[in-house]
Amino acid sequence: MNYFEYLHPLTKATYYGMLFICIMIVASPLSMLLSILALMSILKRNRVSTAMNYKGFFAVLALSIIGINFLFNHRGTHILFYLLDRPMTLEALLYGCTSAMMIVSIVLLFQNASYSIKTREFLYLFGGIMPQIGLLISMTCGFFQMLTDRGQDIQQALRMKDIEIGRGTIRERSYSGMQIMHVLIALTLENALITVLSMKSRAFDIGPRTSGLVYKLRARDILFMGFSLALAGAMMLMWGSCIYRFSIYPSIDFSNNSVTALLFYALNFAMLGLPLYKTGSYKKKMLLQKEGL
Amino acid sequence: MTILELKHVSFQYPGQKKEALKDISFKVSEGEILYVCGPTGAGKSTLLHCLKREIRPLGDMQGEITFCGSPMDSFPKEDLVSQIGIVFQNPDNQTVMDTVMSEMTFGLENLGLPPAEIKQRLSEIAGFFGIEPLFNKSYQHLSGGERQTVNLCAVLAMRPKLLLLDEPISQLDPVAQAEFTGILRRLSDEFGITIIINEHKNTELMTISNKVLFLDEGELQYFGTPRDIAAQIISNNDHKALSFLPAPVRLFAAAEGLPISEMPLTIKEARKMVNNNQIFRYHQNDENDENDENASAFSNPNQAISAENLLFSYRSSPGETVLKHLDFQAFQGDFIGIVGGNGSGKSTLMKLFCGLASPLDGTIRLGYEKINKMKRSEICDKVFYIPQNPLTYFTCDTVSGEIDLAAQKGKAYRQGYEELLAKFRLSSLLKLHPYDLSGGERQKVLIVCAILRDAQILLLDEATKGLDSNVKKDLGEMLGMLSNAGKTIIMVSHDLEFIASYAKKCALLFDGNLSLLQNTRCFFADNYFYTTAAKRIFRDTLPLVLTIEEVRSHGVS
Repeated sequence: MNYFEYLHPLTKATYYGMLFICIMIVASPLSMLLSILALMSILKRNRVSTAMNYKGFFAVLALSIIGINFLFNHRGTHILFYLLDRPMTLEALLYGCTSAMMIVSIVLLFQNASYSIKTREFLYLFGGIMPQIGLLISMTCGFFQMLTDRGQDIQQALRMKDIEIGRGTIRERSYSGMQIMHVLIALTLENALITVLSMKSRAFDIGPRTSGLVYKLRARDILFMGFSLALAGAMMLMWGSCIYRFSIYPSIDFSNNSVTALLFYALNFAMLGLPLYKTGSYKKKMLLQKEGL
Repeated sequence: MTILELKHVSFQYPGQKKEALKDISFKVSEGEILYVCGPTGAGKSTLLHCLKREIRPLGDMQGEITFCGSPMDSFPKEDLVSQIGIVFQNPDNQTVMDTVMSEMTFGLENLGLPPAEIKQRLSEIAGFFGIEPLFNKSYQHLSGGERQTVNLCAVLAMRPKLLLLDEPISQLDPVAQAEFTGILRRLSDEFGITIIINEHKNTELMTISNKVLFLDEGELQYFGTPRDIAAQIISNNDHKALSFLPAPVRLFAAAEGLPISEMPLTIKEARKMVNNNQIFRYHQNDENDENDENASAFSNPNQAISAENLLFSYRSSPGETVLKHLDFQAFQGDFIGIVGGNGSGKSTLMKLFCGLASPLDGTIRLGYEKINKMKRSEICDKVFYIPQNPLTYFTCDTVSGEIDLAAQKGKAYRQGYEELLAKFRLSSLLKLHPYDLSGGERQKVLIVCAILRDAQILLLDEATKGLDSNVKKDLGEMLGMLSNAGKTIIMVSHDLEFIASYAKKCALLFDGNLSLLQNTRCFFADNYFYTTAAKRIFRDTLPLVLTIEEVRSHGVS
């Protein structure tokens, strides 16, 4: 847990919402690169390894996007070389890189958001609008994990019966898979009877439900939300009104004023660094407190 | 003040000829702990479920149940649902939500309480039970004991007057069981909550309970204080009921001249009596014991399984080594009990022995062949693993289907196995679905499958969990028979009494390694804390004694 985790769910949702809009609108390679680096370092700080587990998939996805755009899109004025009489342009290459980085950024953004905004915070945000669906989501989260664990136990037990999904012909594997599913469903239904009794014994469905979650919107939450909105607003204003815009097509435009470019990327950097900065500051405070200073 | 009264309550499930409960009448006062015991299928769970109106099973109920002086059915549903709480046997199946916090608030939210009150109740419960550090954890990261404590707290947060507990500690290890029992004592002593608990484990519960109710085949056989119950059972010479009483009572039941009012209920009382020489002495024929244990049916037994230098850690936590350079060897005809604390790696060891997990380093041999060079089918022919939850193994809809499948794959019993089924008293269960069997019957069906597959090595993981004493005895004798016939049995368990009674050799798994494999008597001889009830009572007077039955069989002088 760090400082950012303790903020109000609405503040965190606003931050990630604004960041999502910025990433979707600002199609600048440097901005995308900054986003990837920042989001990965936040994940690393929080010791979330999910993204790292899929780095091979990310690499293949990114290379496919870059390759396809470079080979089939011939727009642009900076021609690098000709392939089968077709021009291979710098713009196509850069646009492919930007698109690939945008997709990776969005995936990383959702991983960050799912780590920071816990299920119960999500329920707090949306439970008022859809209370029954909120409860179902939370129950499904628990149920999904239970099914995964139980599935592993069943797979292990059935291996002692020579029923194995990872071995044999496709037919044998399908049969094994069906056997495992059969046991999983039967066992889950059997156990679900107790779950239902447990729910009924704890007053489920006897009247309207309330929510036991209380989050107070404090000054720091409002301040943090204000920063997020101001930074994202400033970036979008600069991009939308062409005070700063990096365009790739029809031709890469390097003619931007270096001062406005610097200001734009400074805003972008500040936006991405908000949770990182507070994390660093919070950790420092915690360390000082621990040392009794 | 009487909080609960049953007057001539009978219950019959639809389509069943026999009544599950027959003419039950008893009273429980406020703040009392009522311990309900009896053999499997006696109607204990049915009784508890009948007392919780929301989950009362479908069927025909006769008689009257009064709660706090008024008929139970006259209460509005929103009042009664919070005043009577229930905790079930398996901590995992009764959990509804994914996190501890959500689970704790579930019942309170269902009651429609305002957020401020929910927070107040949670903070109170968390402070009292010391579960605050668990609040933000995901349920899957809790141990079995923590899960059951959370389930209990989730019910207590609704502030019940009557707490019903349906075998809440049968799935827990001994440490968690003791902690849970301690909580129950506090709830009764400090808050006056009335508790009705149905459980097989008797020694600790009998000592904390004010009243005991013994059920058999749906009938109330005995009801009264623990000492009264013990007196009635002993004077009736009821051997079936005697096996459900605490170890000291079973031990001194045969003592002539001991007034029933002085019958010891706890280990402390029994030790005091033995040490003060207040009562008789027991013979102990040590020579015979030694001879019995050293006698082996196999003069030159073959190696059944061996492990050298085993190193293992889970992929999820590669830094933590579960097994550290472990060595092990078992021979044909061995019955080895492996004991150890929770999370010491006992189940992992079983999985390594049957090739369900691979060690980081080291060699496992089945016979003299390396397990990693063997095909899965070859491993399945040699070794049979019975998991903690036998239900994960059954793929057929009937017991006979399951047994036929094992017989087809094995070589020994292709012609017929009726005799084998009769020997293990399974013939009448063939048409049943495996899920309809009791815990002990499921274990027995799996053991028969192992025999039919002609597996030489039988691995059992906590096979006695949730079984009553009579079923355990049945299972122990069955395993002993197999061991004497040359099968190698390796069992990991928390059940020290069972291991002491039936295993030939024992070892303790601690800090990733096994202690020296010794014969059972030598293993328990030096243990002070990790030992049986009889050993604790006779530690100073009869140091070689291990079980109550052993002391009783030696007779009285």
